[in-house]
Amino acid sequence: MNTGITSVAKLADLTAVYPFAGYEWLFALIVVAFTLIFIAAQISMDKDESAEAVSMPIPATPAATIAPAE
Amino acid sequence: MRDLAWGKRLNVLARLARALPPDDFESRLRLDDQTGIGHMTEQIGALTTIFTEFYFFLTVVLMFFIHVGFCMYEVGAARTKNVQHTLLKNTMAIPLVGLCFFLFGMWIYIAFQGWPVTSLSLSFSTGFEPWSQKIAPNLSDRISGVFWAAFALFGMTAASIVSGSLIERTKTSAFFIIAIYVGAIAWVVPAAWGWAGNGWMSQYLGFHDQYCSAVLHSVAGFATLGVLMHLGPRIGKFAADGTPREIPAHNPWLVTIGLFMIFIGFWGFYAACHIPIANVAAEGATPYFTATNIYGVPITLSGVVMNFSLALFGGMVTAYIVSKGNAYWTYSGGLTGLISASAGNDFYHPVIALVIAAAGTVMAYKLHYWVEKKFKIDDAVGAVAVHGYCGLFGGVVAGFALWGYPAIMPSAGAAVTLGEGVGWFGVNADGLPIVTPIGNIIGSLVFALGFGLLPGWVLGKVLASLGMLRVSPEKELLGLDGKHVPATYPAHSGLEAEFEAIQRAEAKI
Repeated sequence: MNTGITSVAKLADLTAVYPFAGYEWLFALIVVAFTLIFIAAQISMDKDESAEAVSMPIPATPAATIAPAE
Repeated sequence: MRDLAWGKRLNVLARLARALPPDDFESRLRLDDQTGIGHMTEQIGALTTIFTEFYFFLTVVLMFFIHVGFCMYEVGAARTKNVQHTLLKNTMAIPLVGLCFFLFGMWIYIAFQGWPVTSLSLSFSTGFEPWSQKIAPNLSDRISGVFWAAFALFGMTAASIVSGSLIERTKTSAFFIIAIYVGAIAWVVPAAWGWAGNGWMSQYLGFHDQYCSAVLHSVAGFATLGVLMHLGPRIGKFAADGTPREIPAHNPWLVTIGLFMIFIGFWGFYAACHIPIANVAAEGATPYFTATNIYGVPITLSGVVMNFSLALFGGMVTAYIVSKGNAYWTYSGGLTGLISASAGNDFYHPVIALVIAAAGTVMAYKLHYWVEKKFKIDDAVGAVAVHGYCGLFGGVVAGFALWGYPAIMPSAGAAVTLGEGVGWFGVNADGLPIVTPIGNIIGSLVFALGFGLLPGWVLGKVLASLGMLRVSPEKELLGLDGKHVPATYPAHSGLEAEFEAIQRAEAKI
Protein backbone atom coordinates (compact mmCIF):
# COMPACT_ATOMS: atom_id res chain seq x y z
CA MET A 1 0.00 0.00 0.00
CA ASN A 2 1.46 3.30 -1.05
CA THR A 3 0.11 6.82 -1.34
CA GLY A 4 2.59 7.60 -4.05
CA ILE A 5 3.54 10.69 -2.09
CA THR A 6 7.07 10.61 -0.81
CA SER A 7 7.71 14.30 -0.27
CA VAL A 8 5.85 17.26 1.15
CA ALA A 9 8.33 19.78 -0.14
CA LYS A 10 5.91 21.25 -2.71
CA LEU A 11 2.72 21.64 -0.66
CA ALA A 12 0.95 23.73 -3.25
CA ASP A 13 1.10 20.83 -5.68
CA LEU A 14 -0.36 18.25 -3.30
CA THR A 15 -3.99 17.23 -3.73
CA ALA A 16 -5.25 13.74 -2.86
CA VAL A 17 -3.03 12.27 -0.15
CA TYR A 18 -4.62 8.86 0.43
CA PRO A 19 -3.57 5.43 -0.81
CA PHE A 20 -4.87 4.16 -4.15
CA ALA A 21 -5.88 7.59 -5.43
CA GLY A 22 -7.43 7.08 -8.84
CA TYR A 23 -9.42 4.02 -7.74
CA GLU A 24 -12.32 6.05 -6.34
CA TRP A 25 -14.77 4.20 -8.62
CA LEU A 26 -13.80 1.01 -6.83
CA PHE A 27 -14.25 2.65 -3.45
CA ALA A 28 -17.72 3.77 -4.52
CA LEU A 29 -18.63 0.21 -5.54
CA ILE A 30 -17.46 -1.07 -2.17
CA VAL A 31 -19.80 1.38 -0.41
CA VAL A 32 -22.71 0.40 -2.67
CA ALA A 33 -22.13 -3.29 -1.90
CA PHE A 34 -21.67 -2.61 1.82
CA THR A 35 -24.94 -0.66 1.99
CA LEU A 36 -26.90 -3.26 0.06
CA ILE A 37 -25.56 -6.06 2.24
CA PHE A 38 -26.55 -4.04 5.31
CA ILE A 39 -30.13 -3.65 4.09
CA ALA A 40 -30.42 -7.26 2.90
CA ALA A 41 -29.11 -8.51 6.23
CA GLN A 42 -31.72 -6.43 8.05
CA ILE A 43 -34.56 -7.81 5.93
CA SER A 44 -33.31 -11.31 6.63
CA MET A 45 -33.07 -10.59 10.38
CA ASP A 46 -36.63 -9.27 10.37
CA LYS A 47 -37.86 -12.49 8.76
CA ASP A 48 -36.02 -14.63 11.30
CA GLU A 49 -37.38 -12.62 14.20
CA SER A 50 -40.93 -12.81 12.87
CA ALA A 51 -40.68 -16.58 12.61
CA GLU A 52 -39.19 -16.73 16.09
CA ALA A 53 -41.97 -14.60 17.54
CA VAL A 54 -44.63 -16.98 16.23
CA SER A 55 -42.97 -19.90 17.99
CA MET A 56 -42.38 -18.09 21.28
CA PRO A 57 -45.12 -18.18 23.91
CA ILE A 58 -46.46 -14.77 24.83
CA PRO A 59 -45.80 -14.35 28.55
CA ALA A 60 -48.67 -13.82 30.91
CA THR A 61 -49.47 -10.23 31.77
CA PRO A 62 -46.53 -9.13 33.88
CA ALA A 63 -47.21 -8.34 37.49
CA ALA A 64 -46.82 -4.73 38.53
CA THR A 65 -43.25 -4.04 39.56
CA ILE A 66 -41.23 -1.05 40.50
CA ALA A 67 -40.55 0.93 37.34
CA PRO A 68 -37.01 0.46 36.02
CA ALA A 69 -36.45 4.18 36.20
CA GLU A 70 -36.91 4.06 39.95
CA MET B 1 -23.96 49.69 8.69
CA ARG B 2 -20.30 48.99 8.22
CA ASP B 3 -19.46 47.05 11.32
CA LEU B 4 -16.67 44.91 9.94
CA ALA B 5 -15.66 43.27 13.20
CA TRP B 6 -14.40 40.07 11.65
CA GLY B 7 -13.09 41.71 8.54
CA LYS B 8 -11.16 44.30 10.55
CA ARG B 9 -9.77 41.64 12.83
CA LEU B 10 -8.63 39.56 9.91
CA ASN B 11 -7.22 42.58 8.13
CA VAL B 12 -5.20 43.51 11.18
CA LEU B 13 -3.96 39.97 11.63
CA ALA B 14 -2.99 39.67 8.02
CA ARG B 15 -1.23 43.02 7.91
CA LEU B 16 0.69 42.34 11.08
CA ALA B 17 1.71 38.94 9.86
CA ARG B 18 2.91 40.05 6.51
CA ALA B 19 3.85 43.67 7.22
CA LEU B 20 2.50 44.68 3.87
CA PRO B 21 1.55 48.26 3.09
CA PRO B 22 -2.26 48.65 2.93
CA ASP B 23 -2.44 49.09 -0.82
CA ASP B 24 -0.45 45.95 -1.51
CA PHE B 25 -2.60 44.09 0.97
CA GLU B 26 -5.88 45.21 -0.56
CA SER B 27 -4.72 44.26 -3.99
CA ARG B 28 -4.02 40.76 -2.82
CA LEU B 29 -7.42 40.14 -1.30
CA ARG B 30 -8.94 37.22 -3.11
CA LEU B 31 -11.95 35.68 -1.42
CA ASP B 32 -13.84 34.56 -4.45
CA ASP B 33 -15.15 31.26 -3.13
CA GLN B 34 -15.58 29.22 0.01
CA THR B 35 -13.75 26.11 -1.05
CA GLY B 36 -10.34 27.21 0.01
CA ILE B 37 -8.77 26.06 -3.23
CA GLY B 38 -5.81 28.18 -4.04
CA HIS B 39 -6.12 30.39 -0.96
CA MET B 40 -3.85 28.69 1.47
CA THR B 41 -0.94 30.92 0.51
CA GLU B 42 -2.84 34.12 1.34
CA GLN B 43 -3.17 35.01 4.97
CA ILE B 44 -6.77 36.19 4.94
CA GLY B 45 -7.89 33.48 2.57
CA ALA B 46 -6.26 30.84 4.72
CA LEU B 47 -7.80 32.25 7.90
CA THR B 48 -11.23 32.33 6.32
CA THR B 49 -10.89 28.80 5.02
CA ILE B 50 -9.60 27.33 8.25
CA PHE B 51 -12.19 29.19 10.32
CA THR B 52 -14.97 27.90 8.07
CA GLU B 53 -13.53 24.39 8.15
CA PHE B 54 -13.37 24.39 11.95
CA TYR B 55 -16.77 26.07 12.32
CA PHE B 56 -18.58 23.38 10.34
CA PHE B 57 -16.61 20.66 12.12
CA LEU B 58 -17.95 21.91 15.46
CA THR B 59 -21.51 22.14 14.16
CA VAL B 60 -21.31 18.47 13.21
CA VAL B 61 -20.23 17.56 16.73
CA LEU B 62 -23.06 19.59 18.23
CA MET B 63 -25.62 18.19 15.82
CA PHE B 64 -24.76 14.67 16.88
CA PHE B 65 -26.53 15.53 20.11
CA ILE B 66 -29.78 15.68 18.17
CA HIS B 67 -29.41 12.04 17.31
CA VAL B 68 -28.42 11.07 20.83
CA GLY B 69 -31.42 13.03 22.03
CA PHE B 70 -33.82 11.32 19.67
CA CYS B 71 -32.48 7.93 20.77
CA MET B 72 -32.98 8.76 24.45
CA TYR B 73 -36.37 10.27 23.83
CA GLU B 74 -37.69 7.30 21.89
CA VAL B 75 -36.25 4.76 24.27
CA GLY B 76 -37.84 6.58 27.18
CA ALA B 77 -41.17 6.69 25.38
CA ALA B 78 -41.10 2.98 24.48
CA ARG B 79 -42.26 0.23 26.80
CA THR B 80 -39.63 -2.02 28.38
CA LYS B 81 -40.31 -4.85 25.94
CA ASN B 82 -39.40 -2.62 22.99
CA VAL B 83 -36.43 -0.70 24.38
CA GLN B 84 -33.57 -2.39 22.52
CA HIS B 85 -35.38 -2.48 19.22
CA THR B 86 -36.30 1.18 19.51
CA LEU B 87 -32.74 2.12 20.34
CA LEU B 88 -31.11 0.13 17.55
CA LYS B 89 -33.65 1.15 14.95
CA ASN B 90 -32.86 4.79 15.52
CA THR B 91 -29.15 4.29 16.03
CA MET B 92 -28.70 2.42 12.76
CA ALA B 93 -30.25 5.34 10.91
CA ILE B 94 -26.93 7.08 11.52
CA PRO B 95 -24.78 4.81 9.31
CA LEU B 96 -27.62 4.04 6.93
CA VAL B 97 -28.47 7.64 6.06
CA GLY B 98 -24.79 8.55 6.26
CA LEU B 99 -23.87 5.92 3.67
CA CYS B 100 -26.69 7.04 1.40
CA PHE B 101 -25.55 10.61 1.78
CA PHE B 102 -22.09 9.50 0.73
CA LEU B 103 -23.51 7.71 -2.29
CA PHE B 104 -26.04 10.22 -3.55
CA GLY B 105 -27.55 12.57 -0.92
CA MET B 106 -25.04 15.36 -1.16
CA TRP B 107 -24.86 15.03 -4.91
CA ILE B 108 -28.63 15.63 -5.08
CA TYR B 109 -28.26 18.85 -3.09
CA ILE B 110 -25.72 20.32 -5.49
CA ALA B 111 -26.95 18.84 -8.77
CA PHE B 112 -30.65 19.66 -8.37
CA GLN B 113 -30.38 23.36 -7.49
CA GLY B 114 -31.43 24.56 -10.93
CA TRP B 115 -33.29 21.48 -12.12
CA PRO B 116 -35.84 21.52 -13.74
CA VAL B 117 -36.38 25.28 -14.09
CA THR B 118 -33.06 26.77 -15.07
CA SER B 119 -31.53 23.56 -16.35
CA LEU B 120 -32.82 20.17 -17.43
CA SER B 121 -29.46 18.47 -17.11
CA LEU B 122 -27.84 17.16 -13.97
CA SER B 123 -24.14 17.55 -13.39
CA PHE B 124 -22.02 14.57 -12.42
CA SER B 125 -19.03 16.70 -11.61
CA THR B 126 -20.32 18.46 -8.50
CA GLY B 127 -17.44 17.21 -6.38
CA PHE B 128 -19.85 15.20 -4.21
CA GLU B 129 -20.17 12.08 -6.31
CA PRO B 130 -18.95 9.08 -4.32
CA TRP B 131 -15.98 8.81 -6.67
CA SER B 132 -14.95 12.44 -6.14
CA GLN B 133 -11.48 13.14 -4.78
CA LYS B 134 -12.81 16.16 -2.88
CA ILE B 135 -14.61 14.19 -0.16
CA ALA B 136 -11.40 12.59 1.06
CA PRO B 137 -8.10 13.82 2.48
CA ASN B 138 -7.16 16.35 -0.16
CA LEU B 139 -4.97 19.38 0.42
CA SER B 140 -6.67 21.31 -2.36
CA ASP B 141 -10.11 21.12 -0.70
CA ARG B 142 -10.66 21.68 3.01
CA ILE B 143 -14.37 22.40 3.12
CA SER B 144 -16.28 19.78 1.15
CA GLY B 145 -15.95 17.05 3.77
CA VAL B 146 -17.13 19.09 6.75
CA PHE B 147 -19.88 20.56 4.60
CA TRP B 148 -20.91 17.03 3.62
CA ALA B 149 -20.93 15.95 7.27
CA ALA B 150 -23.19 18.85 8.27
CA PHE B 151 -25.66 17.86 5.57
CA ALA B 152 -25.44 14.19 6.44
CA LEU B 153 -26.33 15.07 10.04
CA PHE B 154 -29.35 17.01 8.77
CA GLY B 155 -30.37 13.85 6.91
CA MET B 156 -29.96 11.62 9.95
CA THR B 157 -32.09 14.05 11.93
CA ALA B 158 -34.81 13.92 9.28
CA ALA B 159 -34.87 10.13 9.48
CA SER B 160 -34.97 10.30 13.27
CA ILE B 161 -38.06 12.47 13.12
CA VAL B 162 -39.90 9.59 11.45
CA SER B 163 -38.44 6.97 13.73
CA GLY B 164 -40.13 7.97 16.97
CA SER B 165 -43.65 7.99 15.60
CA LEU B 166 -43.38 4.42 14.35
CA ILE B 167 -42.07 2.75 17.48
CA GLU B 168 -43.33 -0.50 18.96
CA ARG B 169 -44.86 -2.03 15.81
CA THR B 170 -42.73 -1.26 12.76
CA LYS B 171 -40.32 -3.66 11.09
CA THR B 172 -36.78 -2.35 11.14
CA SER B 173 -36.26 -3.00 7.44
CA ALA B 174 -39.36 -0.96 6.63
CA PHE B 175 -38.03 1.89 8.71
CA PHE B 176 -34.70 1.61 6.90
CA ILE B 177 -36.36 2.06 3.52
CA ILE B 178 -38.40 4.99 4.81
CA ALA B 179 -35.28 6.46 6.42
CA ILE B 180 -33.34 6.32 3.16
CA TYR B 181 -36.12 8.19 1.40
CA VAL B 182 -36.70 10.81 4.09
CA GLY B 183 -33.07 11.21 5.18
CA ALA B 184 -31.24 11.19 1.87
CA ILE B 185 -33.81 12.21 -0.76
CA ALA B 186 -37.08 13.72 0.48
CA TRP B 187 -35.71 16.83 2.17
CA VAL B 188 -32.61 17.12 -0.02
CA VAL B 189 -34.42 18.07 -3.22
CA PRO B 190 -36.40 20.80 -1.39
CA ALA B 191 -33.13 21.97 0.13
CA ALA B 192 -31.55 22.17 -3.32
CA TRP B 193 -34.52 24.16 -4.63
CA GLY B 194 -35.31 26.40 -1.69
CA TRP B 195 -32.45 26.24 0.78
CA ALA B 196 -29.56 27.36 -1.37
CA GLY B 197 -28.83 30.80 -2.68
CA ASN B 198 -28.66 29.38 -6.18
CA GLY B 199 -31.75 27.18 -5.80
CA TRP B 200 -34.44 27.94 -8.34
CA MET B 201 -37.15 28.41 -5.71
CA SER B 202 -34.98 30.84 -3.76
CA GLN B 203 -34.35 32.86 -6.88
CA TYR B 204 -37.68 32.62 -8.71
CA LEU B 205 -40.20 32.26 -5.86
CA GLY B 206 -38.19 34.29 -3.36
CA PHE B 207 -38.62 31.32 -1.04
CA HIS B 208 -37.09 31.86 2.38
CA ASP B 209 -36.65 29.16 5.01
CA GLN B 210 -33.40 29.78 6.78
CA TYR B 211 -33.53 27.06 9.45
CA CYS B 212 -35.52 24.50 7.46
CA SER B 213 -39.01 24.72 8.94
CA ALA B 214 -40.61 23.61 5.68
CA VAL B 215 -37.57 22.26 3.86
CA LEU B 216 -36.76 19.58 6.42
CA HIS B 217 -39.20 19.48 9.34
CA SER B 218 -42.43 19.66 7.37
CA VAL B 219 -41.18 17.10 4.85
CA ALA B 220 -40.17 14.59 7.52
CA GLY B 221 -43.29 15.25 9.62
CA PHE B 222 -45.74 14.86 6.76
CA ALA B 223 -43.92 11.83 5.36
CA THR B 224 -44.41 10.32 8.81
CA LEU B 225 -48.12 11.07 8.65
CA GLY B 226 -48.35 9.34 5.27
CA VAL B 227 -46.67 6.22 6.62
CA LEU B 228 -48.76 6.24 9.82
CA MET B 229 -51.95 6.11 7.74
CA HIS B 230 -50.99 2.62 6.62
CA LEU B 231 -49.11 1.49 9.69
CA GLY B 232 -52.06 1.84 12.03
CA PRO B 233 -52.08 2.34 15.78
CA ARG B 234 -50.44 0.12 18.36
CA ILE B 235 -52.78 -2.60 19.59
CA GLY B 236 -54.91 -1.12 22.36
CA LYS B 237 -54.11 2.50 21.61
CA PHE B 238 -57.77 3.25 20.88
CA ALA B 239 -60.78 2.02 22.83
CA ALA B 240 -63.70 0.47 20.97
CA ASP B 241 -65.47 3.84 20.94
CA GLY B 242 -62.39 5.47 19.42
CA THR B 243 -61.15 7.18 22.55
CA PRO B 244 -57.34 7.33 22.51
CA ARG B 245 -55.57 5.78 25.47
CA GLU B 246 -52.35 7.07 26.96
CA ILE B 247 -49.49 4.58 26.62
CA PRO B 248 -47.13 5.61 29.40
CA ALA B 249 -43.46 6.28 28.76
CA HIS B 250 -41.36 3.63 30.50
CA ASN B 251 -38.73 6.17 31.52
CA PRO B 252 -39.68 9.85 31.64
CA TRP B 253 -36.15 10.81 32.68
CA LEU B 254 -34.76 9.57 29.39
CA VAL B 255 -37.45 11.54 27.61
CA THR B 256 -36.31 14.61 29.52
CA ILE B 257 -32.63 14.11 28.80
CA GLY B 258 -33.38 13.32 25.19
CA LEU B 259 -35.31 16.49 24.57
CA PHE B 260 -32.70 18.60 26.32
CA MET B 261 -30.06 17.04 24.07
CA ILE B 262 -32.17 17.84 21.04
CA PHE B 263 -32.24 21.47 22.21
CA ILE B 264 -28.44 21.38 22.44
CA GLY B 265 -28.18 19.88 19.00
CA PHE B 266 -30.47 22.54 17.61
CA TRP B 267 -27.88 25.17 18.49
CA GLY B 268 -25.49 23.29 16.25
CA PHE B 269 -28.16 22.88 13.60
CA TYR B 270 -28.75 26.62 13.54
CA ALA B 271 -25.02 27.28 13.36
CA ALA B 272 -24.64 24.85 10.48
CA CYS B 273 -27.17 26.83 8.46
CA HIS B 274 -24.82 29.80 8.14
CA ILE B 275 -21.88 30.73 6.03
CA PRO B 276 -19.77 31.80 9.01
CA ILE B 277 -17.58 34.31 7.20
CA ALA B 278 -17.65 35.67 3.69
CA ASN B 279 -16.77 38.84 1.88
CA VAL B 280 -20.11 39.81 0.36
CA ALA B 281 -18.93 43.08 -1.20
CA ALA B 282 -19.16 43.48 -4.95
CA GLU B 283 -15.97 42.93 -6.88
CA GLY B 284 -13.66 45.89 -6.49
CA ALA B 285 -15.66 47.39 -3.60
CA THR B 286 -14.41 47.71 -0.04
CA PRO B 287 -14.50 44.23 1.50
CA TYR B 288 -17.46 43.53 3.79
CA PHE B 289 -16.89 40.45 5.87
CA THR B 290 -19.89 38.99 7.62
CA ALA B 291 -21.71 35.84 8.52
CA THR B 292 -24.54 35.22 6.09
CA ASN B 293 -27.62 33.10 5.97
CA ILE B 294 -27.80 30.22 3.50
CA TYR B 295 -28.94 32.68 0.83
CA GLY B 296 -25.83 34.85 1.14
CA VAL B 297 -27.66 37.70 2.93
CA PRO B 298 -25.72 39.22 5.85
CA ILE B 299 -26.90 38.25 9.33
CA THR B 300 -25.56 38.53 12.84
CA LEU B 301 -25.12 35.54 15.11
CA SER B 302 -26.14 37.90 17.88
CA GLY B 303 -29.59 38.32 16.38
CA VAL B 304 -29.88 34.62 15.66
CA VAL B 305 -29.05 33.69 19.25
CA MET B 306 -31.70 36.08 20.53
CA ASN B 307 -34.35 34.73 18.18
CA PHE B 308 -33.44 31.12 18.95
CA SER B 309 -33.75 31.79 22.67
CA LEU B 310 -37.04 33.67 22.54
CA ALA B 311 -38.59 31.10 20.22
CA LEU B 312 -37.54 28.37 22.63
CA PHE B 313 -38.96 30.28 25.58
CA GLY B 314 -42.19 31.09 23.75
CA GLY B 315 -42.76 27.47 22.80
CA MET B 316 -41.99 26.05 26.22
CA VAL B 317 -44.12 28.51 28.17
CA THR B 318 -47.05 28.21 25.77
CA ALA B 319 -46.93 24.42 25.81
CA TYR B 320 -46.72 24.44 29.60
CA ILE B 321 -49.81 26.61 29.81
CA VAL B 322 -51.89 25.02 27.08
CA SER B 323 -51.14 21.47 28.26
CA LYS B 324 -51.70 22.48 31.88
CA GLY B 325 -48.22 21.49 32.95
CA ASN B 326 -47.88 18.25 30.99
CA ALA B 327 -44.14 17.50 31.09
CA TYR B 328 -44.03 15.78 27.70
CA TRP B 329 -45.68 18.71 25.95
CA THR B 330 -43.68 21.30 27.85
CA TYR B 331 -40.43 19.82 26.57
CA SER B 332 -41.85 19.29 23.10
CA GLY B 333 -43.00 22.90 23.24
CA GLY B 334 -39.37 23.99 22.98
CA LEU B 335 -39.25 22.25 19.63
CA THR B 336 -42.66 23.42 18.41
CA GLY B 337 -41.60 26.97 19.20
CA LEU B 338 -38.26 26.68 17.49
CA ILE B 339 -39.56 24.93 14.39
CA SER B 340 -42.44 27.38 14.00
CA ALA B 341 -40.05 30.33 14.04
CA SER B 342 -37.11 28.74 12.27
CA ALA B 343 -37.99 29.73 8.71
CA GLY B 344 -37.41 33.40 9.46
CA ASN B 345 -35.36 33.32 12.64
CA ASP B 346 -32.46 34.98 10.87
CA PHE B 347 -34.40 38.24 10.53
CA TYR B 348 -37.31 38.25 13.00
CA HIS B 349 -37.27 40.46 16.04
CA PRO B 350 -36.94 38.18 19.08
CA VAL B 351 -40.45 39.08 20.22
CA ILE B 352 -41.85 38.26 16.79
CA ALA B 353 -40.06 34.92 17.08
CA LEU B 354 -41.69 34.42 20.49
CA VAL B 355 -45.16 35.24 19.20
CA ILE B 356 -44.82 32.94 16.18
CA ALA B 357 -43.46 30.21 18.44
CA ALA B 358 -46.41 30.57 20.79
CA ALA B 359 -48.95 30.52 17.96
CA GLY B 360 -47.36 27.49 16.34
CA THR B 361 -47.29 25.63 19.63
CA VAL B 362 -51.01 26.15 20.29
CA MET B 363 -51.80 25.07 16.73
CA ALA B 364 -49.64 21.93 16.99
CA TYR B 365 -51.09 20.92 20.37
CA LYS B 366 -54.70 21.31 19.27
CA LEU B 367 -54.17 19.74 15.85
CA HIS B 368 -52.32 16.73 17.28
CA TYR B 369 -55.25 15.68 19.45
CA TRP B 370 -57.84 16.51 16.82
CA VAL B 371 -56.11 14.37 14.17
CA GLU B 372 -55.45 11.59 16.68
CA LYS B 373 -59.11 11.34 17.64
CA LYS B 374 -60.62 12.01 14.24
CA PHE B 375 -58.39 9.78 12.10
CA LYS B 376 -57.06 7.30 14.72
CA ILE B 377 -53.48 8.24 13.99
CA ASP B 378 -51.12 6.85 16.63
CA ASP B 379 -48.10 9.14 16.57
CA ALA B 380 -46.14 7.81 19.53
CA VAL B 381 -44.01 10.92 20.06
CA GLY B 382 -46.04 13.66 18.41
CA ALA B 383 -43.53 14.09 15.57
CA VAL B 384 -46.18 14.88 12.98
CA ALA B 385 -47.41 17.80 15.07
CA VAL B 386 -44.02 19.04 16.24
CA HIS B 387 -42.23 18.78 12.91
CA GLY B 388 -44.94 18.50 10.29
CA TYR B 389 -47.57 21.03 11.33
CA CYS B 390 -45.08 23.48 12.87
CA GLY B 391 -42.73 23.16 9.91
CA LEU B 392 -45.46 23.99 7.42
CA PHE B 393 -46.79 26.77 9.65
CA GLY B 394 -43.31 28.23 10.01
CA GLY B 395 -42.67 28.22 6.27
CA VAL B 396 -45.96 29.95 5.49
CA VAL B 397 -45.67 32.54 8.27
CA ALA B 398 -42.17 33.57 7.19
CA GLY B 399 -43.57 34.63 3.82
CA PHE B 400 -45.85 37.14 5.53
CA ALA B 401 -43.48 38.28 8.26
CA LEU B 402 -40.53 38.85 5.91
CA TRP B 403 -42.57 40.16 2.98
CA GLY B 404 -40.38 42.37 0.79
CA TYR B 405 -37.02 41.34 2.23
CA PRO B 406 -34.38 40.39 -0.38
CA ALA B 407 -34.51 36.63 -0.68
CA ILE B 408 -30.92 36.25 -1.85
CA MET B 409 -27.81 38.37 -2.10
CA PRO B 410 -25.42 37.50 -4.88
CA SER B 411 -21.72 37.71 -4.12
CA ALA B 412 -18.59 35.84 -4.99
CA GLY B 413 -17.79 35.39 -1.31
CA ALA B 414 -21.05 33.55 -0.61
CA ALA B 415 -20.91 31.81 -4.00
CA VAL B 416 -24.41 33.02 -4.89
CA THR B 417 -25.07 34.17 -8.44
CA LEU B 418 -28.18 35.92 -9.72
CA GLY B 419 -30.11 34.05 -12.41
CA GLU B 420 -31.99 35.44 -15.40
CA GLY B 421 -35.55 36.69 -14.82
CA VAL B 422 -35.59 35.98 -11.11
CA GLY B 423 -38.35 37.10 -8.74
CA TRP B 424 -41.59 35.88 -10.30
CA PHE B 425 -43.50 37.46 -7.44
CA GLY B 426 -41.50 40.65 -7.21
CA VAL B 427 -38.04 42.15 -7.15
CA ASN B 428 -36.63 45.05 -5.17
CA ALA B 429 -34.96 48.17 -6.53
CA ASP B 430 -31.67 46.28 -6.81
CA GLY B 431 -33.24 43.62 -8.99
CA LEU B 432 -33.12 40.98 -6.26
CA PRO B 433 -36.04 38.57 -5.70
CA ILE B 434 -38.07 39.35 -2.61
CA VAL B 435 -39.75 37.17 -0.01
CA THR B 436 -43.53 37.04 -0.52
CA PRO B 437 -46.40 35.15 1.10
CA ILE B 438 -47.30 33.42 -2.17
CA GLY B 439 -43.73 32.29 -2.79
CA ASN B 440 -43.41 30.79 0.65
CA ILE B 441 -46.91 29.26 0.59
CA ILE B 442 -46.21 27.50 -2.71
CA GLY B 443 -42.79 26.29 -1.61
CA SER B 444 -43.96 25.09 1.79
CA LEU B 445 -46.96 23.21 0.38
CA VAL B 446 -44.90 21.58 -2.36
CA PHE B 447 -42.40 20.37 0.21
CA ALA B 448 -44.84 19.22 2.91
CA LEU B 449 -47.29 17.53 0.57
CA GLY B 450 -45.29 16.75 -2.56
CA PHE B 451 -42.16 15.48 -0.86
CA GLY B 452 -43.66 14.52 2.50
CA LEU B 453 -47.26 13.37 2.72
CA LEU B 454 -47.79 11.92 -0.76
CA PRO B 455 -44.57 9.89 -1.08
CA GLY B 456 -44.88 8.83 2.57
CA TRP B 457 -48.39 7.57 1.88
CA VAL B 458 -47.25 5.70 -1.26
CA LEU B 459 -44.24 4.23 0.52
CA GLY B 460 -46.41 3.11 3.43
CA LYS B 461 -48.94 1.59 1.04
CA VAL B 462 -46.30 -0.35 -0.91
CA LEU B 463 -44.54 -1.63 2.21
CA ALA B 464 -47.85 -2.61 3.81
CA SER B 465 -49.04 -4.45 0.71
CA LEU B 466 -45.76 -6.39 0.61
CA GLY B 467 -46.16 -7.31 4.27
CA MET B 468 -42.96 -5.43 5.11
CA LEU B 469 -44.32 -2.56 7.17
CA ARG B 470 -45.69 -3.95 10.41
CA VAL B 471 -44.73 -6.80 12.71
CA SER B 472 -47.21 -9.54 13.47
CA PRO B 473 -49.63 -9.10 16.40
CA GLU B 474 -47.77 -11.95 18.18
CA LYS B 475 -44.50 -10.08 17.87
CA GLU B 476 -46.11 -6.82 19.00
CA LEU B 477 -47.51 -8.47 22.12
CA LEU B 478 -44.28 -10.32 22.84
CA GLY B 479 -42.33 -7.12 22.39
CA LEU B 480 -40.05 -6.20 19.52
CA ASP B 481 -37.04 -7.14 21.64
CA GLY B 482 -38.27 -10.74 21.52
CA LYS B 483 -35.98 -13.07 23.41
CA HIS B 484 -33.84 -10.11 24.48
CA VAL B 485 -36.61 -8.56 26.60
CA PRO B 486 -35.27 -9.91 29.92
CA ALA B 487 -31.80 -8.53 29.22
CA THR B 488 -32.93 -4.88 29.13
CA TYR B 489 -33.50 -4.63 32.86
CA PRO B 490 -31.90 -7.79 34.30
CA ALA B 491 -32.49 -6.71 37.88
CA HIS B 492 -36.22 -6.79 37.24
CA SER B 493 -36.43 -9.81 34.96
CA GLY B 494 -34.51 -12.06 37.36
CA LEU B 495 -31.48 -12.50 35.12
CA GLU B 496 -29.27 -10.61 37.54
CA ALA B 497 -30.45 -12.70 40.48
CA GLU B 498 -29.79 -15.89 38.51
CA PHE B 499 -26.20 -14.91 37.84
CA GLU B 500 -25.79 -13.68 41.41
CA ALA B 501 -26.74 -17.15 42.64
CA ILE B 502 -24.17 -18.76 40.34
CA GLN B 503 -21.47 -16.33 41.44
CA ARG B 504 -22.13 -16.99 45.11
CA ALA B 505 -22.12 -20.72 44.57
CA GLU B 506 -18.80 -20.62 42.76
CA ALA B 507 -17.03 -18.04 44.90
CA LYS B 508 -14.11 -19.48 46.86
CA ILE B 509 -14.09 -17.32 49.97
